[in-house]
Amino acid sequence: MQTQTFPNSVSRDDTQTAAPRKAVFRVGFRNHMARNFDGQMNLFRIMLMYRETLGVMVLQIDEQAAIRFGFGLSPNQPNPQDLSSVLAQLNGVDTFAIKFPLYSTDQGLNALSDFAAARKVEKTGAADGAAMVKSQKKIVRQLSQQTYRNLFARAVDSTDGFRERLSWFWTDHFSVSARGRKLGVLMPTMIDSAIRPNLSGKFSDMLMAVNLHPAMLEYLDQSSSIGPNSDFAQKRKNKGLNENLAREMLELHTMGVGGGYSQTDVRELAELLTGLRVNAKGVRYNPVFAEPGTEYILGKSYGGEEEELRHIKQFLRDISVNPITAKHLARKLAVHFISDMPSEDLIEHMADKYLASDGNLHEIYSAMLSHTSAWETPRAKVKQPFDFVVSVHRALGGSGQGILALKRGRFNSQTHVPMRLMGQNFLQPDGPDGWPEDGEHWITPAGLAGRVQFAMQMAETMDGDVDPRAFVTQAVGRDASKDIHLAAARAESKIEGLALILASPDFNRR
Amino acid sequence: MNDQTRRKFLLNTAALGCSAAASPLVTPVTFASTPWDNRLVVIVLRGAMDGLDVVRPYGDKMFAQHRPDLAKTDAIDLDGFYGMHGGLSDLSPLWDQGQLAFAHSVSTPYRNKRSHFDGQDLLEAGYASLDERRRMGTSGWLNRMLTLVPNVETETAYAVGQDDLLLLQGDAPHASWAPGRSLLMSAQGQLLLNRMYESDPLFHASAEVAIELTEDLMAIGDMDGMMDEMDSMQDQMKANNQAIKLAKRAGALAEFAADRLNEDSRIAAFSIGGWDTHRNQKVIIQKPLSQLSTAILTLREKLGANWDKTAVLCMTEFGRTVRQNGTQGTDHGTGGAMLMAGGAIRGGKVYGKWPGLADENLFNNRDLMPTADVRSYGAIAMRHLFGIAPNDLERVVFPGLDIVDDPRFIL
Repeated sequence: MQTQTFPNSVSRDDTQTAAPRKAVFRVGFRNHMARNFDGQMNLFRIMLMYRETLGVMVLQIDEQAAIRFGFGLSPNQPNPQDLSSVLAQLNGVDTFAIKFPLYSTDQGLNALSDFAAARKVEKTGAADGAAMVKSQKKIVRQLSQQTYRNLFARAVDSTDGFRERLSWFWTDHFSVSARGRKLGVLMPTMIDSAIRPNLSGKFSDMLMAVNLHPAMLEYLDQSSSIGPNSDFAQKRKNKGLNENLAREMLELHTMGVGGGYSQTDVRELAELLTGLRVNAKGVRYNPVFAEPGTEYILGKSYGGEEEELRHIKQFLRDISVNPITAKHLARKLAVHFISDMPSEDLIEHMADKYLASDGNLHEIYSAMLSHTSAWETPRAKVKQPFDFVVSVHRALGGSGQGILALKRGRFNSQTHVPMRLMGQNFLQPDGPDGWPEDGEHWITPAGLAGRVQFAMQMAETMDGDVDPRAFVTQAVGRDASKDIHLAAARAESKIEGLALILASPDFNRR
Repeated sequence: MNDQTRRKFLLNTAALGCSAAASPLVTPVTFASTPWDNRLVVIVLRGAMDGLDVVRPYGDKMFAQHRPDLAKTDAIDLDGFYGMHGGLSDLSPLWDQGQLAFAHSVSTPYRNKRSHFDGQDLLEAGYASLDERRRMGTSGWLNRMLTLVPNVETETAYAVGQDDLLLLQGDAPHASWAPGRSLLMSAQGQLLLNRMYESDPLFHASAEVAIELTEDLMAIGDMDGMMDEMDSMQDQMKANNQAIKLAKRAGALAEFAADRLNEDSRIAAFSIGGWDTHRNQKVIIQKPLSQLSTAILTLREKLGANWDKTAVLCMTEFGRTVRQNGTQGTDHGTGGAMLMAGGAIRGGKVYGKWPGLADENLFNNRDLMPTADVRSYGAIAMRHLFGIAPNDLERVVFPGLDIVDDPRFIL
């Protein structure tokens, strides 16, 4: 093998630049911990441990915060310097939703109504019918294109990375596949109307907003669920319950599969949910379809004489603070952000904080971030294709405006099209259980080939302007492995050097 | 240019005050604008071509000792001392007709560090040192030469291929063109990728097949058509026709360059990668050799009568170690070789002073000792082809270069 030694200058530079930042960070971090978290002793201990066992390598909390809890490093943005700033941002204005707006739920519903109206005209055989349908199709297509652009732009641009990641986490938790025209139009509106406004408040608010959103009701067939003894069912035969929404509410949204609920609970909940319907104007509660009487779910009674929406809301409030729900949410968050096999201690801690705050999401996040294991085993998770694609754009200095400015074909080929090759259809998970979390699902020969290809493709766009040796730290972080530095230094062209870094296991993990 | 190429065409308007509206594709071409009739093609061989393998000094008795295995593969005798690698056998007729030549034991002024990027940077920038390169900013020697010439149009010089060559970047206008997405990862890139994946069991498990698949993804080209191609990928993998794909790609670049040179362009530059042969060199070097051979033969064929007025210079960032390594390959070295072709070349000759391969003659006891600055070959070519004054060549194009003697390799 060649006798060229691993570039010592790189590691020397690293320690030189890392040292002052580390010092500043330590002070800020420790003060912060002392003020806000009861996990400070643990964290302090682990910081010492890292320093002692790894010598020059320090715990890069700023970079970890950006990589593990955000969409990765960007040369255009400072990394979050401590936990409090990460959490404080969540309580602030949703800057990037304003900067890169989506259309509203009402606008989506209107577009669908207009489309249906045009179809009606077309069916009458009127001369301009076909043209009307065509123009409505175009409108729908434009809505969808704008949505794709703005969603990518937010993620690439955001300095509020944890909020962006959380918004995708909950969008996946409440998976609705944007397949077909109706859901294609409605699903994205759920993000800004139901999920993002409720990211850090009470979980029950989000749970309600999502389950009272037309996309969710449409996706889980709620409109076809009719109380067997409802007024409506009295007049028509062959109408009955559809348990779909009730089951997913328990199995996916709250308690989790194996959460201890019974088939009777599912059925009773399905009865409680009857009357909840979606029409052209949105979600409505119509007692004509509601099953009369009291429902008993998980040992508690709901409803009675009058069938009203407030009974459903009461159930959602109750189940949101069920201890099993608390654990289910804690585990999902930990698995998504930290490790495919998170520690039970972490989950207990998160669930406790959540329950103690009456189901406040901000508390469950802060419990997660302040727990030692949030900062242990760096890069235990594989980035999902969306995260990977976004983080490549960020690493290469991309911006939201840059994403908006791409020509259509180029936008497609640099965002959602390569995601399909990596195994993820943007906004279209296979089922209501969302995307798989385990790395084995994503790093398959075909999935990895898609990533390597994308890495090459994006490296090419840099026209050889970036020196791979400097790019290692910029993209992967100060703890990048020796293998990556070696690959970057030995690649035979700059383009390949960048591609190798972007295709490296470290960059593909978080 | 046919519609297909026209569609894929992209103009680089980085040049001073040159807007797309002024490009020769949008406005009619003025034929009076070409400054000269001679043509120059520069091919950058990325990854450090092993000059000792491509042009083998069989006449030096140390050669076979340093390279017991590599010296044994097929070669074609050139002049009794040197032999040409068998992978270039298609170029033999050019040698016989005096249209192919080599310069041996050449190098840029780059020494000791042996980094591809720095080496290529210096080769294309044409400066005497990396410090000077940093100080002077981003411009390549071909571009600086163009700044000395009146009547240079965007169309005069072309960067062909995916990477916008540093060689042509700078104040003078130039055009660039890239065919559809077809960049393939080199053997060295694949090796480095595999090495990174080895330490991560999850990635390692998928790496081997993934890298093969990647090649096919790259070769397929446009992303939108990619999904349809996924199904037939298994068959493609078996065919293992990457070498053919690569050669086709090089041929496409050369064909485009020839098309432009037959019109108003006088300079074209592109690159061929894949020369970083750290292991299994006798197999791995075949691919870039066949690309190079295809590119030159395509240029000759497509340039027709203009081939007589053309010089093709193929340069690499540095050579490789004199001794073969433990993995049947060679590592980064210093002195190397360059290849010249074209009707304007005085061919059938290996130029340069041979330094010898005895241990005491080697650079750092490992590399071929350079006996000439590769930049002087570029300078002399431009002097004779384009009439650039020696003073300008030594001051502006290759600052600090001292053109000592003229080997008269241009007719």
